[in-house]
Amino acid sequence: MAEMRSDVIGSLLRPEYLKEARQHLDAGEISDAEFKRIEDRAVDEAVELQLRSGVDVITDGEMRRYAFFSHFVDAVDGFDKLGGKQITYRNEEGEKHSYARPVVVEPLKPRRHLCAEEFSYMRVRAGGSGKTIKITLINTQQAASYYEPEKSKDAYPTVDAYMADVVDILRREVKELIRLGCQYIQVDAPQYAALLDPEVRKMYEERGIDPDRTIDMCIERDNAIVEGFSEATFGVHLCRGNNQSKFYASGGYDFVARKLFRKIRFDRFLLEYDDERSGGFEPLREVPGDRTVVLGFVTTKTGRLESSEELKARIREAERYIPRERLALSTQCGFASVIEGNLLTVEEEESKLRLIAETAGEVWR
Amino acid sequence: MTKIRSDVVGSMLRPAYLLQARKRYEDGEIGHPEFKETEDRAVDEAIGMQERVGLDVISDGELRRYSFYGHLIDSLDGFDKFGGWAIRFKYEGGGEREVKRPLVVSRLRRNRHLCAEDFTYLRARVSGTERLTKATLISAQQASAFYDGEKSKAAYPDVEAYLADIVDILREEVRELIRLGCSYIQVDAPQYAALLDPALREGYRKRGNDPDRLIDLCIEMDNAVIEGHSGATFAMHICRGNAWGGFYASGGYGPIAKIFSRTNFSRYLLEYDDERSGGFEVLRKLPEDRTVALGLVTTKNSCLESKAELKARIEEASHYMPLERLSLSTQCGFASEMAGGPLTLEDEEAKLRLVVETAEEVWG
Repeated sequence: MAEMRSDVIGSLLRPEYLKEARQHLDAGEISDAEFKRIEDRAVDEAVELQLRSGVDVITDGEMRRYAFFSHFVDAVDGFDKLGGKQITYRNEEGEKHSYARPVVVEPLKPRRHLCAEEFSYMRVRAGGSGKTIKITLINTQQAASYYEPEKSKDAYPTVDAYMADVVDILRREVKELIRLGCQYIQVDAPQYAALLDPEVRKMYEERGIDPDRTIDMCIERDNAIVEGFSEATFGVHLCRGNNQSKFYASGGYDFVARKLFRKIRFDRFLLEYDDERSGGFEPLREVPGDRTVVLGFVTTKTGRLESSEELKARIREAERYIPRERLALSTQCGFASVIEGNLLTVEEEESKLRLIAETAGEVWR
Repeated sequence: MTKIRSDVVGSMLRPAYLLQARKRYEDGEIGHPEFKETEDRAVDEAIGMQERVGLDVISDGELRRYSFYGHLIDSLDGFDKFGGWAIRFKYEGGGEREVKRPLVVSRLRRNRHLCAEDFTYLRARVSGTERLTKATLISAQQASAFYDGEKSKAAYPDVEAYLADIVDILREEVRELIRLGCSYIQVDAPQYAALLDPALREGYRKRGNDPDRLIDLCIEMDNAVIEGHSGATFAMHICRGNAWGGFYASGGYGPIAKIFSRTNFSRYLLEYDDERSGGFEVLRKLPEDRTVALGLVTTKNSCLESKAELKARIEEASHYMPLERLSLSTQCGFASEMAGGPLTLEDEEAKLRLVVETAEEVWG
């Protein structure tokens, strides 16, 4: 597989025409075939943008999803998509907004593979480009947050019973993606971030939940997704929330570093590092010698462009804890974890990706 | 939908490098990415060839399947791939050849959709052109050949229980194909040929099966598979077997004519490449909202038909069905089985070009 020094997390800004087409499809105003033509066009443009910018890894921008997790809830029957807990996101100015989560209300029944269409299509669009195609999956703990004892107990008596089905579905997905020729699979694991935030940890403890035990269980389940598969590179992406430029947690990697970095059997850690909320690089000492860390220095939360010099300085700083050959560069998260997208323009998005490709080219050339 | 004048049935000859890659892949000598690269290359060539000759309809050549029913066997758990009875194909020259069928041995469980990869890839390749993309599915009754009263009993107590699962799986496939934007879905229903052949009909009777009742059952299942969908053209393809240029049944469409009015398909792709298929009179029985692709060009041998002869037969058919509801195709695919037939890739292209050119001259 080609070198992957400039990585992308996954989601890209959705064009307006795609958001409109989704509404038309939901309202029954356009046919499936018509919708796919529009959706494909958005994917094509996302691929071209990435190819233009020169990054080593290409995704379909998650154009076919309404949120980073929707491949799961759209392809699997059993969820009430907007019936779950409200989660509050905030920004540095203290502004907040709420976002409703899905909740499981019936035993899960997969309708289709979660990402097979995404990947099969990408084989045509990016195969032969020399770039690595990435597919993103939600991690088990993200899916666990869709279990609420009150609303879910008729479907599954316990969260463990539900999680057994989730792991099974995600394993089957990995198997199919590998069969389809996919070589780079990333699980998006924002839930670990909650367990990094001292305040959130305190809330867990007050509810009688041991956050460290929760981390152990998350790791075990995420490992179960990829266990026995050797034909792909597995990445795990950690961030502190990214919803229309707002976040939901803060805290360095100290709390989870020892456990997560050492115990999770993923090849590549894609870590949010775009501001002081992510803490310092010392925890990278804990990363085993056969893993790569992708430094998420470039922020997708604002359009302000970082300077190449400042990125290089930070890479040098990280090198004090982990050698350069095991590092790579990316944004801290996607540009549009939810369809609404972050507060920057598509031109700024492209500039950010070009900055990553160019900086990586200079650092690792 | 654009008017279809030149159609393809589905399968195309597999290039030798694909057969070799498949073998190496199954032997574990190459990995998934390498195999997919090779398979995609073959699909790209098949699509490129169809575009070059100018067909109105493009298929992926079924190059990802080992047989026209491979999508079913490879996507589901529950089959013993070569555990079924052998079927004999006869040749005009007199020879015979056996094909071993799959056998259902445990409850079916879908590993993946049967044609989602095929169609998604095709959609991506053909997008931006006016051409239609086609997906082909096995019919439920054809899958009944994979049930054995003895060996399948532990999985399903009777063939009806097994077929109920098959119909469900095919229904879900249609739903997914439509979601993926597919607007032309064809069901391959060679089983009807067994029910039109006088000798085979007699065989059914002797075993205590009324062939006409079986036809009714087939119609019911085929209708169930497509029921409730309006977004696509549904076609049914009927032929008399096609493996390495051989066949297994003979006879006109008369005994099965009721399928033309009682199935809810809007298009029929009918084998008509020799006298084994009988005359065109039966076309009179089709309701006015149905169209027919005349399978006049044979894929069983490389001898190229003359345009004049094709036009004469189309003219003859138009006595029984107006010309504007007719179109032209081959009688079947070029490689219902992976091993292909007696034709070369050049023959295949020449046959399809003939279909296109003749269609252009007839329909303008």
